[in-house]
Amino acid sequence: MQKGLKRRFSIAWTAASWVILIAALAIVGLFELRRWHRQAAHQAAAHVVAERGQWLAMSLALRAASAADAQNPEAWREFSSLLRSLREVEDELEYVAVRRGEATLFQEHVADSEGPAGGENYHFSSPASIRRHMLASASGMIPVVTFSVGVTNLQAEEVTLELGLRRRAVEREGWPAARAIDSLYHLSLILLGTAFAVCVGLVVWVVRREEHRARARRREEHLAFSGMLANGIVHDFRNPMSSLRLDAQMLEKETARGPEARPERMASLASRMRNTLDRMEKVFQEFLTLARPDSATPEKLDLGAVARECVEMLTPRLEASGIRAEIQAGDAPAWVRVSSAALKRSVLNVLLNAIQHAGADGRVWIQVSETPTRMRLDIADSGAGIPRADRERVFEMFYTTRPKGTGLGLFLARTAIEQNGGTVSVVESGEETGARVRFEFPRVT
Amino acid sequence: MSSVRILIVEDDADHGRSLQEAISDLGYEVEVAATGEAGIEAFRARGADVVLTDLVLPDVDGIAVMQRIRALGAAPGDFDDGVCLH
Repeated sequence: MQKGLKRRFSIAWTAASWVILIAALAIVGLFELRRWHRQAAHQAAAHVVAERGQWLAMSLALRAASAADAQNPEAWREFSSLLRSLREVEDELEYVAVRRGEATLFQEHVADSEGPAGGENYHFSSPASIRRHMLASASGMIPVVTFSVGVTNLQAEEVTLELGLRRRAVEREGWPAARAIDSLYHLSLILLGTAFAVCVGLVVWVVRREEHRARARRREEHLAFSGMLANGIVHDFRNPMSSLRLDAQMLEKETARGPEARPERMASLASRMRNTLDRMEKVFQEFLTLARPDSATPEKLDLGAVARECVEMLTPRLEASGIRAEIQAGDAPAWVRVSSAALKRSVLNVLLNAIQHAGADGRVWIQVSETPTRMRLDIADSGAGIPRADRERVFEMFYTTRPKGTGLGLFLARTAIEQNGGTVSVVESGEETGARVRFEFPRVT
Repeated sequence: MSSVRILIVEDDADHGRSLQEAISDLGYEVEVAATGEAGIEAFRARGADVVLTDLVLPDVDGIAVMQRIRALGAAPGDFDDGVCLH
């Protein structure tokens, strides 16, 4: 029972460990997936921003080149107003600068400036370049991405346009994707947590239910056993108690006769009452044996030695009944592992049975033999034998053919032997050979 | 003194003896049979006015004993209904 409980707990622990491990792996996996997706979304956003920045820089560079050609403040005012309108659609536009050589023709921080559009007379002298840097502004250092592009104007001078976009633009661009990834991540976490809780709940429920079932089974077994014992006691005590009551009544009557009472009758009644009580005590002892679990631990025993010991114990009985007992056992010990008390009690019970059924001047044979896997002890007698149909019934509780039998001997023998991993059965019983009861145990080397 | 003859079929010898003595004390003639077959044989040989039988017997059970004893009678009407005493 304790072992079963331990086994169930170890199963529960194994299951719980697996669930925890899988949950941990799933969480780590989800976290990594989220990181990877966010990175991908960021790269995609950066790519979009870069393209947009380059496109803006190139468009503005053409206009800046044209403004530089015009060389009047009006052109730069137009350029500046263009930037302001641009600012309406591109929030993150931080600054725009136009340079020729070392000279800065135009520089504007976020707002205020104007300038005209360029045309087909201008061409890009260098491809747009991008660089990331920190820009000092009134509100501190701001991370920006700067797009530079050079344009050659009509005077064959190179005009460079520099356009700074706040790096926040990338974040804003990637924001919807990041939100979606985060939502999925949180949803997965919630699902995982729920699944984990359900698994833990299931494991706890199964363990509890198993424990409850095991308890109920033990209770049922105990009740069935108690019922069986109670039934047996009622069955076996009914007749003796009726006898006792009758004898006591007769003793009372005899005593009431006063001087005419017959002492020899009173003595005979008293003696019978004592006999009846002895019988009741015998039955009681057998029930106590049955009710008390056999606490003896199994030990290595030689079946031959046990057989000899039991026959020796029963010698007075054998001599009184005029029955000869014969032991056939090999020289080598027939080792088995069994509780000594249980084996001896069982062999004695079966031997007693054999002696009682062997008949006048009968014989009892005890034979120790072996098979490749089992050790055998056969007890046979020269009695009338047991009909094939009754071979199993003889092991039932209270089955007896003798008027004074309790019907417990063979039942107790089988119970004790089976508790010790062996078997007891009636084999090849016939009219001419009498009954043969076989004990079998696994071999022990 | 009495013409009432009682046959007891009981395999428990001590109990049979107690019953026999107790009933004899009441003034009836009592015979005890230890097995069902012996009971039927005793009835066939000597007859009885009342048959008391145990239900659990080593050979035939008490019900069968009663059925066979009834079958031995001249007519079914000669017998009262069986009464089961526990």
